[in-house]
Amino acid sequence: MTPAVSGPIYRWEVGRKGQLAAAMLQLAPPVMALLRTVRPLLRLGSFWVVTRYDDVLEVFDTDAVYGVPYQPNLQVITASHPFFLGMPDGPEYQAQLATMQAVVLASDLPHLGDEAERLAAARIGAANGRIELVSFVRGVAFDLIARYFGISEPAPGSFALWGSRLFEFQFTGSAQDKAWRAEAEEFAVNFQKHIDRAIAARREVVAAGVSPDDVLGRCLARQAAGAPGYSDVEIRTAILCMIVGGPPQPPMVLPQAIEQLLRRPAWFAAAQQAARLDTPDNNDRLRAIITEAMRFDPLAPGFKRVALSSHELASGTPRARRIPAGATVFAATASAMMDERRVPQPSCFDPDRHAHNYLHFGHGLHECFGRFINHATLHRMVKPLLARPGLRRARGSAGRLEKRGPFAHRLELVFDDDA
Amino acid sequence: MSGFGALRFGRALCLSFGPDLTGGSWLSVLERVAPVTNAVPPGKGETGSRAAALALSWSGLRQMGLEETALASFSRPFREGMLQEDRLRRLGDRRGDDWETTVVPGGPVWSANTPLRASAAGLRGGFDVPDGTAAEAHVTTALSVHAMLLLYTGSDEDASAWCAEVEAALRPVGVTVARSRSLFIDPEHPEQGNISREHFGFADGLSQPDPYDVGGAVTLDDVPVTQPRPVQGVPLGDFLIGYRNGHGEPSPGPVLPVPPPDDDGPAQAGLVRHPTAEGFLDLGLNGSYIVVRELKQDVAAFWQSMDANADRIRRHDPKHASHVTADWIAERVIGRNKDGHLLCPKGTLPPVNGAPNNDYLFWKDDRYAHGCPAGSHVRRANPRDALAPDDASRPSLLEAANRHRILRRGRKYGTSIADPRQDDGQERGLLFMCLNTDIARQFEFVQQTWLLNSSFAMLYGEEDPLLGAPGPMTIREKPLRRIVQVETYVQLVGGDYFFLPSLPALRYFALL
Amino acid sequence: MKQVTLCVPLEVKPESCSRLTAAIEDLKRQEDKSADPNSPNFWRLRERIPTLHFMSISVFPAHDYDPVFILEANFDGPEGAFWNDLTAVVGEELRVMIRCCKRPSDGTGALYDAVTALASKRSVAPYFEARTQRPSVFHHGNRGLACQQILRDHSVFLETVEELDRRAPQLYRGEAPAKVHADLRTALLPNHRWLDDQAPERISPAERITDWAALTLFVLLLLAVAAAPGLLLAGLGVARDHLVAMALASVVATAAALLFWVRHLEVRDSSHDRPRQDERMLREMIRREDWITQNHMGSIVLIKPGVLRTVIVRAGHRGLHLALRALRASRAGYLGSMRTVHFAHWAFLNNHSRLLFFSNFDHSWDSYLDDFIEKAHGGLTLAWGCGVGFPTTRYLVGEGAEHGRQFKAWALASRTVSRFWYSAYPDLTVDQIERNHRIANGLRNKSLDDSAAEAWMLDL
Repeated sequence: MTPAVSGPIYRWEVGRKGQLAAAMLQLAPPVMALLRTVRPLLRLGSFWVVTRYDDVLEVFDTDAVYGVPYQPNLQVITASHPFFLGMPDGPEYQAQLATMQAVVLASDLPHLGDEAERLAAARIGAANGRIELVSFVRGVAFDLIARYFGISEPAPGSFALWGSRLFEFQFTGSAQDKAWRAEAEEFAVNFQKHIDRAIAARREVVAAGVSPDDVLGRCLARQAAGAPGYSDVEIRTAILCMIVGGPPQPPMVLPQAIEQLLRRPAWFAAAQQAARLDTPDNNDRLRAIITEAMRFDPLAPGFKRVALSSHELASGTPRARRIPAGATVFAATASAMMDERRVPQPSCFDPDRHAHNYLHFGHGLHECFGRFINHATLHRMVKPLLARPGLRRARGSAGRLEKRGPFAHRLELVFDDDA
Repeated sequence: MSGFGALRFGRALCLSFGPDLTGGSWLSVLERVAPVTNAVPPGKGETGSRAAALALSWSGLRQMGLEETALASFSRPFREGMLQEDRLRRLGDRRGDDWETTVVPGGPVWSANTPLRASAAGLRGGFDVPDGTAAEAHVTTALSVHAMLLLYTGSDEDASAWCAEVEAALRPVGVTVARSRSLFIDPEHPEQGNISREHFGFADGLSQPDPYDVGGAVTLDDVPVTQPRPVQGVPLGDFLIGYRNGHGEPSPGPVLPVPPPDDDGPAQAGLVRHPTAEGFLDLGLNGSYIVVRELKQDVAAFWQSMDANADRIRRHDPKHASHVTADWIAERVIGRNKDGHLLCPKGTLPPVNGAPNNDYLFWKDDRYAHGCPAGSHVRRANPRDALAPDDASRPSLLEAANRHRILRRGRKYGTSIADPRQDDGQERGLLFMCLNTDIARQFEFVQQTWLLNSSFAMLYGEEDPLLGAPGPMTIREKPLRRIVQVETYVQLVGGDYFFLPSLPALRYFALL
Repeated sequence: MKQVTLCVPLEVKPESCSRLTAAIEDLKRQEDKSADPNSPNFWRLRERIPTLHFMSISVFPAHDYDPVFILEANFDGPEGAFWNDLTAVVGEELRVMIRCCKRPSDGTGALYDAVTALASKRSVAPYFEARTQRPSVFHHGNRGLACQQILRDHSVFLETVEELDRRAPQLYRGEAPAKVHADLRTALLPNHRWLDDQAPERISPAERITDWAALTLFVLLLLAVAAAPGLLLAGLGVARDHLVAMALASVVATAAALLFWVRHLEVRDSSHDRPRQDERMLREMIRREDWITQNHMGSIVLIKPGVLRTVIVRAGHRGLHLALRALRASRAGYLGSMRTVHFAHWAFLNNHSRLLFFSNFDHSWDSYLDDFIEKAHGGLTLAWGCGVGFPTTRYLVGEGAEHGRQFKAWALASRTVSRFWYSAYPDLTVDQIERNHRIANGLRNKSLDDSAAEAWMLDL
């Protein structure tokens, strides 16, 4: 069988390297805290680490200088078709963003939230009182998004595998690494073909007079109406990038958040309470608790940017440094969210924080496209589980979150199944 | 300054100038039919069977042709009038574009209609941009009153007759009586002072300040009163311009530039030189400002509301509220019983020489207001030492309260009601009048900071139960306070600020 | 939580002053009444800056200087989080205002350039931080109560009234005080779970000790300075065996000399009894006052020159500040015998040549000034007597504000329009906040005996 059909979800899971890297990353918070104080703008050759809240925001806000480095890897995934994630701001960026905003609608969000909860509940029902959280969330997340976009699971192969491996390549891989690149290309080609087939199949269904209301259906309807930006290749690229960029994230952050809550029994109980009282207010409360938990172990320690021209960062302050053109700038969002200069009592768990205290989805031009979907669905994916009585860690090391590199690997929980 | 208490009847005439009137010659006409009476201290004989007092508004003085400098030297409240929009808000009459419920529907009927001050808002310099704020609204009434003439007589018939004489004399010179109110007092025990009951049935006119003057201008039984009496002592300058006031200086008043040598009018009138403004004559000396507010009283609504509150309280607390009657609540709304005796924790204050005691303090005997409620009308109208946070600051708080006293000269108008619980459709009320030399520090302060202050004496969301907006009123009882809901029983019909000139100033105005 | 009081003064470009004023008015309109008529006034600030007690933005014109823009705020610390919250809500509006102000000549010029550059997205928070001016003296009326605590206490008060008079008027009549307390607690607990928690300490013992230590140290320092000449003489051999006596004599002599010097200056000081009042400005001030229970004032005066004045002003302000932190009455919220002051805030501007005063108070400006004149004239004269044109004083604390009319006229002329002004609890007086807090604290007790409950019920 080719690796595109089965295999580890992440390359990090193979060998000892991932475990080592995970252990190293554990040290990041205290190191970052030190850097924030003694060297807020740290230079390591042509690599710059930005740790303070103000400066991280300045990097994101100065998007004309600090460009996204996603293009080379993205080209591997999309077969060199452009996608806005890799573009600088401009008419093309805005046009492509608009084509997506026209088919991914705010009015879908309540339904998506309900759907996330339904899918999660169904899986828990079949779990017999023991659940591995990472694969559980992964299943829910890919299922949810595939349905929403209107693309069915590939056979052979799986979205979870393809999406996760391409995500891993996009954000932690290098197009210069020939083996990795070849592997990614294989996943990508399979993925592209699968979507092409789905588009063709959908066209036949529509011709037969059935038109499901999902993202693919909306794209094709716009294509038929002659709207620009919806050629088959553009539709394929967009759907591909969305599935690669979106659903791999919940299986990372949600287990991390639950791990943080399990370390804080009072807040774990508060989350359970909110999950059980099934009202809009309590949904909001649960989201707030999960969002705050994520701050203590966010998706990524930060985001990379490339300086397109020379620029003085933090100008007018004593820590100002001139970043030369071509430097790679690492905007440490995890550190920024712990910066006591802007975030009140950052070590204190407080779900009532303001939205601007959180940088989970980045900031500015390239702020996560899926943030609204995440806002509506993340907490709903774990809500049915949290509502279960007797939810607790599994015995032994299985009940502690394990990571491989930056990725959550496994966390087993048990609950009373008699309900 | 006299209230002419021996003359129990009278008329309040709102005089309005015709468009052609200029100068002060109409005052000479008035002098012939209704000579303005000099103030006679109490106990120094009477003025006869008739007495008259005259007060002028800023708009009236301006139309009579008083010169610009003099007009500008009057105090700001008087120059702006009571209906200036910010002042209306502070007095609890109007908020933004809406009249409060304590004003008759549609707004007051009469005022001096003082013109807006010349505004610099339209002037723009280089770099200036509009800031988007609205221009000042000019709030006006249908009737313009330029002068208030108060006629006091021994009988109502005489008042009517005199009023007709005055009206007939003034009409040819362009002055009309725009509004007339028949005033009266009806003391039950004249020998104990002129304590009359207002329309709701409570003794009124009690607790006046006792003026004193370090310069000896106040005498009692021919002995100068140069020191304040313990509770009610207030410097004369707070009521009469030119004497030492609460700020320890001669109370400021209007001035008149010394005229050219060929004009001996002011000298003839008797105006003297101003003590600090070189080259000016003292137009204010021995004058005062008088605040007039015509307050309509709805007697039936008052007592029906008291009944409803008593019913509700007894219904909610059948076992322990048998003492709560309409009278019980009404006494607490006022703070005195109907005969004018102050409520205290043990009942009422015993009379002094048969008359209500007015020299009481609150802090020592009724600090927590279990007797006289903290929000009652009398306690709000003059808190004396009640607002002291501790024993040590009592004297300074009493002294502070006495810097905001007014000399009330109001009289009731209309007829007495037969059955206080039955509305007879008649208009009746109180023509509130008070003298003060610093309207902002005295009348306006009392109205805003004491009577209508929604957080007076640590109350919350309550105003004066008689004059304020409808709402709760707390009555302390042990162990738990009761709260009654008061409605609007008193509404403003009209009013304004007037200048009460001394006789020399009045003679000067007649020469304009 | 410690309440922070600070201001940010920025010099205005005179050509942009009118534009700045309009921008402040725009901001006020935008925040005061939102598009949704059902939302309360200033709801964005209320919701998104829950630590903010009070804030004002105003422009002070002056005869002697270009106008100065001042943003002044009272909030529960820390400062960085406050500025971040504020700029998240009105950052762009504040940037427009900064652009109307001059580029500072000190080290913050580069930061000014960064935040005012065309299309700059740089947060203005660091600029405000860099330009922050600390108060020389401040006083808080409800020290130690966080904004959210004040609001929570008030909601308990409102619900208590509702419960006693509407929901269950029969229930509480004729019962023993202890039972009334217990029943009320039971009724309120479901909506106010926090009543089960212990009340947080308003002023921690550490803070208290620090306050007293600072005041003691200050007094000792003053005495040491006064004793120094005598000790110096002793050191030079004069009465070497009587050190203590020399020190005491020196203190007395120094005090006498200083008083003589002060009086010498005072009789030569000019006062400004009838300052020119800009009618348009006055009207703009008055039209914004007396809409709600609280009012706000801001004033700037020039400080009298001279060596002795400079020393007295700085030492006096320091001493006053330390006394206001340490003394029992002011800790309980009293400024003199006044308890209507939510905060009073003095700060020096322009190298100590101008004195800024801000205050939020209950009731009208006239009554506030009358209170000062009638109840706190001594302290006020000490704090403000250094102002150019202040009514004639006598030995620093005498007369001065007792010249009521002159003092009011002088204070009025130094004021400016409070164009943007926000209070998180506009209808609560200092006294009411304390009353609410007493009620809530009473309810935090699981039970009270009859006499304690009866005393507690006086506040209901």
